[in-house]
Amino acid sequence: MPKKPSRIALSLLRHVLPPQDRDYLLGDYEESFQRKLEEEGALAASLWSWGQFIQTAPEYLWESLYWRLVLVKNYFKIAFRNMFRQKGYSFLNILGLAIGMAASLLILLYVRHELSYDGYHRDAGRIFRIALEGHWGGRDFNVAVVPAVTAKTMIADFPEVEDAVRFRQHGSYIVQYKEQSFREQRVVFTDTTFFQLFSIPLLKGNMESVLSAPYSMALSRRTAEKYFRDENPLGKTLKLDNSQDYLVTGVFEEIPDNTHFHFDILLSLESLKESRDPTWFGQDFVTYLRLSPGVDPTALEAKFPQMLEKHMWPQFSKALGKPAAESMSIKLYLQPLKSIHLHSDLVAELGPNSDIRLIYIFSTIAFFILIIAAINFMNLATARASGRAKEVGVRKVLGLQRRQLVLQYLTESILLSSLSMILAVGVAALALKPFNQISGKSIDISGIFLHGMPLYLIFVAVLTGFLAGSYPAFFISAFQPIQVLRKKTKIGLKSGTPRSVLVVFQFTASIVLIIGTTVVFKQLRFIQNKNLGFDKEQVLILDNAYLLGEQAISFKDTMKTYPQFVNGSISGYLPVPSSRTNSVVLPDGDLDVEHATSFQAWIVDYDYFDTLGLKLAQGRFFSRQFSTDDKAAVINQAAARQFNWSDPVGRRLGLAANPKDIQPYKVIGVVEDFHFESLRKTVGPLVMYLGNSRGNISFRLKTQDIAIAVGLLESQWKEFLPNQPFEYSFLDERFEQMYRTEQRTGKIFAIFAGLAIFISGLGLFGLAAFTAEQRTKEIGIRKVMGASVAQIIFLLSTGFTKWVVFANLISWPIAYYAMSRWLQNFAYRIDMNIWIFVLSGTISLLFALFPVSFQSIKSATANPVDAIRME
Amino acid sequence: MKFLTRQEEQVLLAVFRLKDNACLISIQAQLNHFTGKEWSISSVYIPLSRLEKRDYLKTRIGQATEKRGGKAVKYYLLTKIGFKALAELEAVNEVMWRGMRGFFAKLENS
Repeated sequence: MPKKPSRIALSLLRHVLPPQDRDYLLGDYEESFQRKLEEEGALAASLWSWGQFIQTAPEYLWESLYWRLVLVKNYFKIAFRNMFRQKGYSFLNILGLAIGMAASLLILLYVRHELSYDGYHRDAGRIFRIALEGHWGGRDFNVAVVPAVTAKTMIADFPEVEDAVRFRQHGSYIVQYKEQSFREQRVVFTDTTFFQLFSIPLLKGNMESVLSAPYSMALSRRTAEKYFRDENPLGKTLKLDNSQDYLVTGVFEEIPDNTHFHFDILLSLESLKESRDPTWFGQDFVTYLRLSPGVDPTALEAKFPQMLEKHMWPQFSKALGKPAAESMSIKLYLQPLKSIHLHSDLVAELGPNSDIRLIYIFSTIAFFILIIAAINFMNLATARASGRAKEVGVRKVLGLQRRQLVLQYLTESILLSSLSMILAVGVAALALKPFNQISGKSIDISGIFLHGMPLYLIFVAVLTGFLAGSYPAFFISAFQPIQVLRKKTKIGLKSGTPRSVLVVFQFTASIVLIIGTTVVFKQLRFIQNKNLGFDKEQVLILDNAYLLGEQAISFKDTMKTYPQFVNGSISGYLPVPSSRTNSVVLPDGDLDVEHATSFQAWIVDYDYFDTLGLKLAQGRFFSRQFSTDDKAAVINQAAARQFNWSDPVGRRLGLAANPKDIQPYKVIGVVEDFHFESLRKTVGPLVMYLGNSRGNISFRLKTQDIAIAVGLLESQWKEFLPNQPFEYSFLDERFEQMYRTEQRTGKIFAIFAGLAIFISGLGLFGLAAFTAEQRTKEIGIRKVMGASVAQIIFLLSTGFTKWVVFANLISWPIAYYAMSRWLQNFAYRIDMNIWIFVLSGTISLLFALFPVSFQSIKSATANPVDAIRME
Repeated sequence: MKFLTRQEEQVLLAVFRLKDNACLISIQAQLNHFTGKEWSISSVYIPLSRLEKRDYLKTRIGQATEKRGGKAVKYYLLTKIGFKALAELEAVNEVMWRGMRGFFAKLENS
């Protein structure tokens, strides 16, 4: 039988009881317990003791909380008073922090959007794309496309594969309904399973039958509205490229932005004969598989070689007449759907993907900007500490504990950072539209308020306030009341060392960003001005030229009668993204299959050379004077190098669409290497031959007034094809589009580098103001003793200048390392010379010196009488 | 004068009635007796501590006993301010309640 109340209940009580009366109260509890024990027995007594605990603990807790809240209320009051008393500092603090937070917030939204790609599909975790990696003809291939038959074979061979969908692109189409027609870029042939694999809602039409019949199509909601307005699109037909009617069998919701493909029109794959091709030659189909739940993709991948052994290699060996696996290798592998956008950069992607490295870089930048802003806060707070030393002294004398002081300062900084966060959300909302334009995204403002984002923002605000406030809080609360009240020490100045370390850190980060920006822009300029091997200026490209059909030549000749049109060439192959054909190429006369390789083979015409301004290295270009030129080929220097031909003119080579159909050609000339792909890659081998490729007509212009030339072209087009859309572009514009990602990166870099240096400058401004204020009397005395204004400015600025110079020394190697890594992406790149660094250093110094000298001049030119009279 | 809550008023009265013998346990017993309700220790202690903070009460530390687990007892005494507060309270109450007794009697008779 217990003689004592439950020990657990007692020790719990001990923690909630007010400390000053704890012992008496415990005594009271025990006395009451003993009485209960005597009067009502053990059970009642122990029940009573627990009942008392449950009943009274909340009351005590509330009582103590109440007094603490009163204290917090007081903290807030003091914080607000301080904020308003020092409006200038508070403004600097809040502004800097808000800009930093807004920048980080935007980057966060951007990163979240990038990470959200393809995550919305119901079965996203089970969908994989098949990619092909191989080596033949001396070259490596890593492509996102596989043979048409792959999907069917996998479904038949592997029970793990539930379903598959294929995409086949054939460029753009002219789509006509009644008398209106548009050119549609985002068109793809696909299987009927499209809507089952991808969670894109089918608004109209039947899930089972949509896209199943040949020559049927599905339109996106907006595209359907464009052609049919209020009419019901189902059952209507659209004419594609003036030749084939397609029946609309479905309307689907717009494909969300965060998808790695974007199509407006889906055509049934059944319409294409090639979709039923049973052979493994040629890779043209982007293929996705949906696996059964719980299937391990690596285990499935392990079975692929076996499947190829069974189906593909026999076909290849038969075509070559000997075991094909000896001279080539082909491997299939799976890419998780969600990883495609950030991790995949293969040949024949459905659209430009992003890069996970960019995400890392941006996240790092966001983090650093936030830190730079937080450092401002810390520095200003410690610097201002001397102003509050007396307050701290008095509070301590009156019995405030250090813990409470720390709490008070933390409250203040969290209040400031919360205010900044509110402001930051507003700034970010305003800046979102321009940011979207620069980044090429369409991030919605609602992103700030969705998916737990508000909680996250509150967390960031409190954390920033806590981290930024903790150092000043502990620093200030450590003041000895006797010292500060006797007013002997200048407390603020004593914290100079950690402060200068923080400033050095700020400027190091800013300078790295500035150097990064400079390098990115210099590289972009370098690309734009590089000798490309062709002349990209003054070339007008007519886009829908294939509509002219046989009339193309007469159209071209008519245009050439105008003086503005110097030359014209009919070819869909251009040194910007356009038609591309990889052909099997066999060097030399024996046309030995074993030496077969495969590279770009372009169909051009006689005027191609002059129109694009290419340069000859050896031999001649195609000419109408030689009737044998339709069996002639011109190669580039890279091709000559690949074949080890020192004297290529006159040698023979074979070209083949597939190994069975080899055509012999004779090399008549070698063209100097020109950059027909992005400068990220080295110039690859290329062969050109005469033929019909009517995708585009390029015109070389010679005119100051481009508008007139375009007008001429359009009126002529209307004569030839009155009802077809007229579209044109310029070679230099299309060239620049190739580097849009780099340009975006550059712009984003520039903005954030600018913000970083601005915020750092803001911090220095505050610090300089503080230093000048601290040394007012000193300056006054120096002036009285005969110091000149220049001397005083020098005196005040050297300290800060020293820090910034030091920051430069630290940041240069970091920036050099980081940027040389980035430049590795380019096959043709600039050298980072010392001037980039000197320039960035100068910029940072200017940004540091401007606010500092502004303050210095202010105090140096002040009347010394005012300074000394103070007190 | 700051207003007292009903609990504070009752606790103050109990301390007054118990004279030198006002410790938490006896105050609690008295309150239980007069109000007919069970007062928990905390519901007595919290008004007590507030009154003490306002200097209506002063304290005296008594002997520790075995019965109390070796812990001392805290006795409460009215201060001058406490007396004054009670007196004012009485005066106010007297004025405000004046005539009510007769009114209740009439209500019960009718």
